[in-house]
Amino acid sequence: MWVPIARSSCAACVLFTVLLMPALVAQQARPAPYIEEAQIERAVADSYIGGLRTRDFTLIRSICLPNAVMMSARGDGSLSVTTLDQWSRRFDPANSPFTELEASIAKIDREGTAAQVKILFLVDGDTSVTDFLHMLKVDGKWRIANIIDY
Amino acid sequence: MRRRVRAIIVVLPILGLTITGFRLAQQDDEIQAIRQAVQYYLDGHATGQRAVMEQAFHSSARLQAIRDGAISIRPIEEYLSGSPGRPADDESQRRRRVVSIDYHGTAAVAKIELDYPSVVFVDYMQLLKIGNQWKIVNKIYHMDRK
Repeated sequence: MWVPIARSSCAACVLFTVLLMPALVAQQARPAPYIEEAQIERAVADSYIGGLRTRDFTLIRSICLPNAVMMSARGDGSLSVTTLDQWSRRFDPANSPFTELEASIAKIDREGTAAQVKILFLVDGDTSVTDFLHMLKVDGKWRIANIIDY
Repeated sequence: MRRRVRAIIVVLPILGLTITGFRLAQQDDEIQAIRQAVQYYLDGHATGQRAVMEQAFHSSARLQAIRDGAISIRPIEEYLSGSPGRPADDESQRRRRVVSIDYHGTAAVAKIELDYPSVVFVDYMQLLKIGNQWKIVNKIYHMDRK
């Protein structure tokens, strides 16, 4: 009885080595799917949403390109454009405009070095705000190029 | 009393459906208006006409991308002034499509694919509804050579 079992075990090892090992090696060599999206999600959650929550503008600035702007449509039908410097001057860490900020990254869409991110905010439990971010990968880091919101 | 209850039972669902239908129609109108702004952009590429292309953009719009590892920023005026004024020689082989549109209130985004014989562009557009018209205010893009 011993011999057939040994033979079959040996055959299984050979089969594993010949057929499965190359597939496993190829799987490990291939870049993990959505690794860029995971980096975007972490950067946005830590620096952008984190900066808004903790009222720390240095966090927000760290994820933005120096010439990033925030744009929105004013009620009078004109365009509002806010640079990072203008935003930082209005950003008072001591006086938060909200007591509670819920945020969820609803969508990340990426092609190569460009990405679009949708964030849903619920401010103080009753006000919905949507931010759309444009992001570019510069020097290995995902940075915000533009923000529009409603 | 029973008549009143019956009337409420009949009227309430009709009212609900009417409001839902109205909201869906409003959303559909908004999507169509956003699509029109994007269509000016696609037609601008197809015709090479500046006058068509500039209808898509706000005058403060910016175009940004990573080119050769560095960030490239172009104001809209510089982009528009490069309009050739006529369709490209290989226009019949160029394919363009709107991949997706999303919006909330007066803010919208669109993803566009330009599939040309030697290169594929993916454009991400940010649009704002300004003075009752949707305009592209920012474009970033990624380019892959075939």
